[in-house]
Amino acid sequence: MTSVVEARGLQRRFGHQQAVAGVDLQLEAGSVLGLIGPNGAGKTTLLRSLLGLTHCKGELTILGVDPRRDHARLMQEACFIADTAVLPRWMRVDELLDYTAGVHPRFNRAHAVHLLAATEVGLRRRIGELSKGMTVQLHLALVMAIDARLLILDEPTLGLDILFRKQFFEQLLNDYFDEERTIIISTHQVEEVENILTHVMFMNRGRTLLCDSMLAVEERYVELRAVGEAATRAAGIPHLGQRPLLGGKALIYEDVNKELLAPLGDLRTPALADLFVAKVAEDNAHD
Amino acid sequence: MTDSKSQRWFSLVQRELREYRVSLVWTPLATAVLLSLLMLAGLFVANQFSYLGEVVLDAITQAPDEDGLNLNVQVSIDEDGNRVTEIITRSTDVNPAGAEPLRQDFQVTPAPELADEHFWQFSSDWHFNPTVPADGPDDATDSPADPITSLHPLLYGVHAIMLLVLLLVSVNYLQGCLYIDRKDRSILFWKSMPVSAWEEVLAKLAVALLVAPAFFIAASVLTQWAMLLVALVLSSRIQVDALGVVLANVQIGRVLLDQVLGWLASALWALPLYAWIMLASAGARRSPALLAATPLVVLALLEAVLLGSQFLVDALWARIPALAPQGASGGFFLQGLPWQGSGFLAVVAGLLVAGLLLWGCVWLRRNRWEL
Repeated sequence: MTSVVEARGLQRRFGHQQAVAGVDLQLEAGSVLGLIGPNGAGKTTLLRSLLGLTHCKGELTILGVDPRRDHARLMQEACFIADTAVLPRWMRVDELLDYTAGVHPRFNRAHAVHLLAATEVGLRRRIGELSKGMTVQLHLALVMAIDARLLILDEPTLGLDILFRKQFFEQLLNDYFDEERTIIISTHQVEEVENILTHVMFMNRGRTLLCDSMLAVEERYVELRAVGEAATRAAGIPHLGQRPLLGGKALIYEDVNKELLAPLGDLRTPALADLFVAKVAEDNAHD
Repeated sequence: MTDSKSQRWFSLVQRELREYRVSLVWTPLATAVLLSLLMLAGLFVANQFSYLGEVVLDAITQAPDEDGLNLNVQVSIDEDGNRVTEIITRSTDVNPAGAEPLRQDFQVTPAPELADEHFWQFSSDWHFNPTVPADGPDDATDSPADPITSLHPLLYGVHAIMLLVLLLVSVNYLQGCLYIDRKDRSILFWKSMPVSAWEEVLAKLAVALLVAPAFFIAASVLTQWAMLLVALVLSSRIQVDALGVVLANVQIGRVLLDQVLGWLASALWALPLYAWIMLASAGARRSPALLAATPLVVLALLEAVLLGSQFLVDALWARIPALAPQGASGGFFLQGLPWQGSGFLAVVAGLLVAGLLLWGCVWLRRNRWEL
């Protein structure tokens, strides 16, 4: 089985700033990768590199194609939502469907119309008049009507209210995702995507802090919630990070013997957000 | 496969026409309607006052008047025997004979044996003056003082106005076509579609070079036909055989062919200029128009100051479609080959430069699209 995404040593530099500093990434079909990082971590640059939208150094094969050389061919099987506001504002919804139907061999116009019928987006509406939420619904409907193998979403729900965000990811998971498809999502709203991810990647300052399957993350990382005396003892064991809890501490450990920690308090899988904060803090402390 | 391919190009072009609906589709129609309305108003006035009617008739027949500015059609034969026709504006000199040393000039009026179908006198007092058959075009240089009297100048006048509007619209389109989507970030959507940068650039160029002109020329032709209709109505007031008079003074097919082929020739000639503006559009961070104009103005000024010449200005001016390269009086160039005199090499060189510039557009579109 060939990988959908294979990248080795990806690098992209803007002047003095190393936006992407040697990233490796391998992804099989049927994965949902969450790309998580602070602002300016290089997430957007990495995603654009994967799509051939920006120059980069390193080995790169997406769906068997080098996107830097054959961007147009790749886009037949890869879809991309950059963020909430990139649909052409002067166009009408039906004109957008016309255009996509004209240039995209894998687009099913009827399916898009069917998906839009469930929303408030009218076909005769001008895109510039749509609300942010409706624009995203439109873009999602468009993308879901394309029979693609890779979907890349760069902050797709930025600026949307929680109802739209929930609906967006639910629809994506229920009506779109299957074994054949691969989805990469970059986002700040870690909690909202956490339960749909199969893989996760943390980035900070252009580098990969963590890139693994969710199963492996559950294996390797553990959060201990301890109170009183136990908390003090727990803090003595080398840990990734800690944060205060009511009357105690929550500590995140990497690759430790869980049986050793068990007597000290409650063990659980850390939330991605907490793990992310701990990882970034550790990385920043190193420099 | 070919079906989906043509569908694809259709979609790309249709998208451009939809984005620039007002300037590329409505403007030619509006201009046509406006010109037609002006003519109708003229007709109305002419019906009301016979004096003004005379003026309109004078305008139609292009009788030489004291204003001293006449549009004339000059038909000449070049060395290869090809007929080259152009409109020239001259102050008082109606006789262009001898203006072109390499060519033999002759007047339209004294047409040879084909007089019945082709060249009728259409003078202001509405007399038929079938010309005396001559032996051939070579002998047709007699009676040079005769005014050229046909409906063609008026038709070409309408066409010239249309082309002028087209030129303004085209420049606006070209400078925006690879810039506006970068500015509003919708380029990220366009790039999420399986369309290559070459396809995008070529589709946009085709719109500027062929599709938009097709709209404008169609509107122009319709206006010209409306004008013929006006002439028909006008002459029917006076003449019994109005249809005969009007049709005898115009060769509709010939005019149409001239205008269409004339544009194709101009388009080929103007290609590097169009590509240059597109390059500015693809590369600009703030103002494509400024980016397109500044280097040219600076170079032209440098040339003027350092060398005292104006080769660049002349070369650029000559590439602008619809403006005559050799029209000393700034007359409109509408027929014939625009590179006549400057040679085949200039065309080829222009195409090569255009190819390079377009390659630059594609490169910028791929690699430097972020503002």
